[in-house]
Amino acid sequence: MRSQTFAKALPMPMVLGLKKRLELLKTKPELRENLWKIATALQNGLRDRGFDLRSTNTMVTPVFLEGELNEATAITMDLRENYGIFCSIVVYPVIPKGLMELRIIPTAAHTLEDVQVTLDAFSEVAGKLKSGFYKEQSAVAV
Amino acid sequence: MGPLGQHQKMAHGYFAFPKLEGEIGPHMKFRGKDHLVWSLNNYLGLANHPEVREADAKAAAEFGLAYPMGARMMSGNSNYHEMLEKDLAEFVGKDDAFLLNYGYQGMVSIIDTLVDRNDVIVYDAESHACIIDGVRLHMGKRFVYQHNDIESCRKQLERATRLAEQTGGAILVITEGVFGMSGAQGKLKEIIALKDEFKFRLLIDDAHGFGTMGKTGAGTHEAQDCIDGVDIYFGTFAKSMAGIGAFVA
Repeated sequence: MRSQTFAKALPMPMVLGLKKRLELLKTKPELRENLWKIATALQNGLRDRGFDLRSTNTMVTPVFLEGELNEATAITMDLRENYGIFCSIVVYPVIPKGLMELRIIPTAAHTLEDVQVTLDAFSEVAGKLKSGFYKEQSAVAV
Repeated sequence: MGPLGQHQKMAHGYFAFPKLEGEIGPHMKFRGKDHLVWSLNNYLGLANHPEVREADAKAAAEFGLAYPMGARMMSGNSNYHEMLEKDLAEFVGKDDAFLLNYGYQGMVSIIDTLVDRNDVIVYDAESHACIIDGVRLHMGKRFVYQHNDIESCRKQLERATRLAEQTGGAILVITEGVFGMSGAQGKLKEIIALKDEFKFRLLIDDAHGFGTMGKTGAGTHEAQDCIDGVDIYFGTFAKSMAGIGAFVA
């Protein structure tokens, strides 16, 4: 493999740090169990509230909503500025026009309380989106 | 100007290149305010695990960031590099493993290494950019199948088989364990079942699945109970392992 054959080796602290990570990954199944506890609570909660999560069958949690680009940016800003929730937004051309994807990545470090706060916030912003609230918003300089 | 171009002035630093500050975890600061963060692939929460922080600090104090100097082949090999490779291979159920400094570049290079101009690549349409870039380096033919569509994959394998018979080359199928945008698993088991009809090797990019999927966290091939059917397994250290780099096994 040319890009490795002619490249400097990974630095030792990285290698030793990775050995420790692999050891924890193998010996602490509770980390993975907690990830799945959070992912399951989040996805069940979202689906119960009628959100469209498409084809996910893993912990990666995409929430698909209908709306134009300006609504996608406005809803992301509302989530961040008024609900204190930071998630990634995916828009055209990664997904079709007229759709937006708010992508939620659960981790073992989240709590069920974090999930509840997020579910409530998503219900509120989805309601606002449906009512056309974000149509009037333009992404003003912040 | 990209799709966010109309918001370009405010997009930088907000939608693109945002700065998350503070200890890595679910609660970090963005633009000075507390946020509940759902954007990090720190799946197992290892990034800020006290044992990880301690191991990182201890190794940095002992070795510095320079050691070892040079490429593995020439002067940069060590027992620890080899031990990590052995542990990784064993964990994901493969004979051997090789460390990669970067995941993206590693995948590009793996593809480049596995094929020559007579070989044919068949790959999923929604493959990650690193796979697309790797396929671009390929000097022979490639066929793309519709995302996770086994019938489409079969059709492309038929075309690839006809072509490979002419060139005397072999077929490499590439897909992902977990597609990071949609969360869908690649249909590994169904693809492997096609080996009854076609001759090919299967390479999977399990960047998201390594450490998260399967009974022991070995990956999506473990979750789908098809470890042996995956010929070449790629996992990254940038997600559940909360580091940087990758490996191929």
